[in-house]
Amino acid sequence: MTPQEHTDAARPDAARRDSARPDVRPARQGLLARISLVWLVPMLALAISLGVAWQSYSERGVLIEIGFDNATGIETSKTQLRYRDVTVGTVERVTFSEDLSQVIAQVRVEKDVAGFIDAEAQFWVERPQVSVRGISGLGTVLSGVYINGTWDNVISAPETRFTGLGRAPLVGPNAQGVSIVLRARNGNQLAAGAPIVYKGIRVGSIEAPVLTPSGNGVITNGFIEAPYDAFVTSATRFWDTSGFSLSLGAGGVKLDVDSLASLVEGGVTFETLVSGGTPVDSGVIFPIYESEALARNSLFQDADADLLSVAAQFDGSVGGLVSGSEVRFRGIKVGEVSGLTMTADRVGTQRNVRLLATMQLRPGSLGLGQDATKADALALLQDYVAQGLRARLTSANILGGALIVELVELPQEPSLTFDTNAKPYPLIPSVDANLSDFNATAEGVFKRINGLKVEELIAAAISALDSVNGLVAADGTKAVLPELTKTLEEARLVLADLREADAGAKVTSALSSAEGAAKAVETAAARLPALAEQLERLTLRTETVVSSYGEQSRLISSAMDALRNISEAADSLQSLARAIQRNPNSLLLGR
Amino acid sequence: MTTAHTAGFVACDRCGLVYAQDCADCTRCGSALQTRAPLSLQRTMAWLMAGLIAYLPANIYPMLLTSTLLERQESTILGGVVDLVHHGSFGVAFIVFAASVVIPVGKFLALFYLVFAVRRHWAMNSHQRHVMLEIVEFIGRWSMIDVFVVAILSALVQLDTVATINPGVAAVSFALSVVFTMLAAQSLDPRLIWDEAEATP
Repeated sequence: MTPQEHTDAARPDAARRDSARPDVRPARQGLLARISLVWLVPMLALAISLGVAWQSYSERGVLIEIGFDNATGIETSKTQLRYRDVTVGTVERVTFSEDLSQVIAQVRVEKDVAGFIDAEAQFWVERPQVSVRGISGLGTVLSGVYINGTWDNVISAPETRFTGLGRAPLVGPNAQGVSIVLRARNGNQLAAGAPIVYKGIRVGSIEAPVLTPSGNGVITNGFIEAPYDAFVTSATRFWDTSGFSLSLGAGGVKLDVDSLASLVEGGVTFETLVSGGTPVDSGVIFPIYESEALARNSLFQDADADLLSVAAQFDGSVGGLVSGSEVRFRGIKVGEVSGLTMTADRVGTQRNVRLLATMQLRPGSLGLGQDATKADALALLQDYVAQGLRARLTSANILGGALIVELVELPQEPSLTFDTNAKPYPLIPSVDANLSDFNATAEGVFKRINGLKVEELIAAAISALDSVNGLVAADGTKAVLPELTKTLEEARLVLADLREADAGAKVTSALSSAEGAAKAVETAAARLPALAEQLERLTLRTETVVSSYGEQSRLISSAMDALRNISEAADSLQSLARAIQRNPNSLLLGR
Repeated sequence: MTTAHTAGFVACDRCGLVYAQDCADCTRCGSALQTRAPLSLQRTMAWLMAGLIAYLPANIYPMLLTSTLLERQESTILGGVVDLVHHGSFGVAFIVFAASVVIPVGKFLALFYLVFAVRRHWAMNSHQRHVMLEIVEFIGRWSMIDVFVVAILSALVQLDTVATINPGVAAVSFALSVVFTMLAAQSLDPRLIWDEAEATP
């Protein structure tokens, strides 16, 4: 078929249209005729894609490597790196170090954070931990572990290779406070993370103790948070509060238990015992004393302390006074005995041997402040002696024979001059010891204890128990049981009757006829007097049963109470019965 | 074989009325008259490229963001297929693979072939080409299965912390890719195919 033939077949219709010839549009010219506008779509898509790709590449984080001993729980592209509990990166790969000694987690860290991660940054794996102080990291049980990081908030030369810590560091780079080093004789009372407590408040904690290189002790790093670091001065003493201490002394038996946590985990507390210490820098070494007493004593053993040496002469035996015994002033320790010597002198024709105790007093403890000098202390003592200050021996406590030197103020004593230039040391005048008083007191206490009539007390207790036994075993007690059973039986019958009546009432309430209900109630009510009578009989019976059995027993009184209740119940039943008989509708209508 | 084009006629695409070739608009329904869709091949190519560009992120980025109580998972299309195979759901894996990989890729190949065949005057049975174009046009909408699954899942599974499913970037780009390829298939004027058959006896 040629085109011409085909045209003939279609012509009529086309011809008709030709007569109403529509516009003829010229073919479009120019660029648009040759290039479709649709090309803009892929261009745009490409531009967007490239833009997104470039953006995500340029914003791609920095890769850092953190070495750990093991990779427990660390999963590629799942485990997160968090800073202050905000996710700032993800583990991209977990590999080994070249010598297989470490596991290296490669973490992609967000770009805006990466700049802060410098050489001081610390990383550790947060895992669930159960310790005496509580449970931490519980969230990681479900979510899996994450790497926690801490670094300071200053942008500095970035670092990409780190070694992870075994556990959370004691001090983050941002922590404010003071780092100290604590030295102890042994580490068995100290555990990593144990608290440093000040007046019962946790103000810091310690790291795991490590042996000193020489092996003669342990040291541990401690950190005291701001603002509590201000309490630590050069005059501060630390002591161990772990466990508990039981002491028997002048103050009686004393049991010291610190917090439960420190009981198990150990703990350190401190106190600034004298004023005027200078603030400490980080890294200062403090010893940990084994007890508070030792810590307090240590103040007097300081080699550098400016101690005032004085002496006192005592007559008679000073057995019990040793080098190191306390010197107290108004009950406060102000120094200690440093030596005991005998001096022989002659008073008239009589030769006399006296004991000379040299004492070292701490001027700071005498109320003169930390800066007090020996001269200040001497001047003070001079005034005190003029007012009647004397040295006197006393017992350290009521139980032992130990002695201490007490500086007492005795205004009735004659005013003496205090020779500040005496040799070898300035001499504080002494008075006779009042040891006998103490002995007498102790004796009195013991006498009184002896006087306690312990045996009689025990005998009385035994006889009381005996009479209780007898009461239980008595025939009457046994006989009352069957009677009570019978009574209970009766009570049960009464209850059954009551229940029957109640059931009747219920059935009648279901009846539609109010009259029928009233009638039924009437019949039920008619039985109530009988019930009441029965109850009364029961009461009487019980009364006789109970009255047959002693008068004074407590059983009787409670039984009487019960009886009274029962007869009251019977009375109210009777009045109820009367009320219902008069007006049966009241049951239904509630009036 | 004679065509309207060679006979000097043009049929309205919408109502089928035949005019002489120099007519511009159909007087019955008002639509523009054109013997062959202008720049058909170019437009097809352009849509096809757009579809291809959108198809790349659809496969690279995650399709589903699944957060459960314990973990948070991002699954790409192929990753999801592999997971399904690991779980032994071969049937579902096959459907997902067919709908989101085989069909789109097949469409791309088929359309590219048709465009090049028309442009470079490759010899081929025009009937087969028509069937191919028909299949591509018909099957295009079924690729949306993936997008629907994602849409339904993310609408249904919003149990806060226990389980939440959110659509990922890939869902959007995959949908775009499907739309673009459907437009590409529509832009290809089938009359070009038989023009080619005419030209190569």
